[in-house]
Amino acid sequence: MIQIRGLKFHYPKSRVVLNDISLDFSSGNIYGLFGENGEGKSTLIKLMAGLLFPKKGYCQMSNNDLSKRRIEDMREVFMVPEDFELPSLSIHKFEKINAPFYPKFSQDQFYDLIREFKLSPQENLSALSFGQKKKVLIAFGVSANTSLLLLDEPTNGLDIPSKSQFRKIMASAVDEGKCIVISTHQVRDLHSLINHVVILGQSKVVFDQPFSSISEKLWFGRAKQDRQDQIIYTEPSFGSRAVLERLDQEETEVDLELLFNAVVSNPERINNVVKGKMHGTVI
Amino acid sequence: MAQSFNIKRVSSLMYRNLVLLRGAIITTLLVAGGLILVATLLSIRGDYVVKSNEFIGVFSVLFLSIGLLFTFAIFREMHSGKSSYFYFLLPVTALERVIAAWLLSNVIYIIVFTFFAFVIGQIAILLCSFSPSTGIHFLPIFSETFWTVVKFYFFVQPAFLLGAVVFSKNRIGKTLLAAIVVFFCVFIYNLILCFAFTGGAFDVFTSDPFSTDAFDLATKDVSGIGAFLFSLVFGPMMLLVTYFRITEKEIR
Repeated sequence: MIQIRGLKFHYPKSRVVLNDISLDFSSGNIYGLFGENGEGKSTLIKLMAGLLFPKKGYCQMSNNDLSKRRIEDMREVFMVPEDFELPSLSIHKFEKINAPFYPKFSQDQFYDLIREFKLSPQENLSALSFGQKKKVLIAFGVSANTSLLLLDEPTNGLDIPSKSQFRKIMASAVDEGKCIVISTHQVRDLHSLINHVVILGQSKVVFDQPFSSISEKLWFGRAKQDRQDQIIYTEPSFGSRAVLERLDQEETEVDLELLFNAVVSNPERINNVVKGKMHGTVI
Repeated sequence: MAQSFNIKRVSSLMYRNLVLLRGAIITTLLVAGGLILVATLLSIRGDYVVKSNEFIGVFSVLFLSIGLLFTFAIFREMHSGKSSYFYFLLPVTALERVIAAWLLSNVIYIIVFTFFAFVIGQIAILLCSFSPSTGIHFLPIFSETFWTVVKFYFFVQPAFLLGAVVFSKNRIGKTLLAAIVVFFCVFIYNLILCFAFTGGAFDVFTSDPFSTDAFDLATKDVSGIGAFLFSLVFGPMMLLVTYFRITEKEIR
């Protein structure tokens, strides 16, 4: 669906944010895009939405360059940014003026989600909290039924019940024709939701693996004494959890936070262990 | 393959712009309406009739200034750091964005504001008709000056549309400054041409009958070319440049 090759980007008079990025995003998946602050997660999301143009390389959707902003591509992309402003309108009016641009927009789905988020269509957006505004935008994005849904830090500003509500909605939103990319540094919020992990570091893709490969090759937990030599990464405190080669051990639940720390501290080793389908360039 | 120009999307975008700006539009129309009403009532005072030149003065000032403010307001969303993403994310082509903005801030604005000013002026006349000295008469809005003002706005406004897209901060000031700079450049260029044609002798301005003929010819021929350039080339060219600027615009 989305093909990124040799992508390089920097803001004017600024350091290179993304360098030689090559990734593939296919439909039917929910991708988790992780990285430390300033590693270019939001920039990559904006490039995928056609809001920024690559300095080198390309970002294509069905073989069309997204920076061309062709109408047939733009109607298949929706993005929920991290920080945004919504106009002073009722939710109903907001839907009325923006929905006609998205041919697959479902009014029923939108108002169902609005009700699920405990909001009323007559409420004015200016009177809502940031978290509630984010819910409106998430509901709009899901109801637009675009093939590609990009979410930048979607759980920022959401309260605890809303986070699980968000996970439920996202899980039900993805189907064979849709691809969802969620950029966040709050890895715990995406627990049990994503099925592919992409980690950015030092302007490059340092990890790009499906969940199935991770759980097949890695083991998460407290390492026994006889397995100390298999430790790839351990938390820097006594008796803490570690990432190990799975070998013949029982499959464990993937600890995203631990995985992220392991990748950031030693990307080469962890990539050598997880040798599944390699999508991106690994440093 | 989807159409790159769709009139339905253009009308949806115009409707969206009107809804987003509805608060500002209502306030501006109320203020403009009040001013037109007062000015018309004042012009009736004395001779009990609204003369064309009296009405067109206040109309011109309000028509031009509100029109330019409206032009800049249409692209406000594009320059706002936190809402520009939605504007650019909308599945609308650059051509449709330019056409929608131009139709709204130029063609539709001219028709709506003229009608609005006419109605308010006519209401002022009707209000005064309660006095026996003032007879009911139609507001003489469609004078020669009116058409000159409308033509000026129609052809020059696209330059401000371009300014509204190009500049992200102090947009009105920067556009006016750019217009002044362009004017001076053309003026200096003309001076250089004049210097070249007359061989450095600026005394052609004396009462020599040859110079009178030259000026008559220049006014007749060059002004015609100038009017043609400014009316049929300048406006569309500005719209074309606006289109390309939108095409290459990224969010901040």
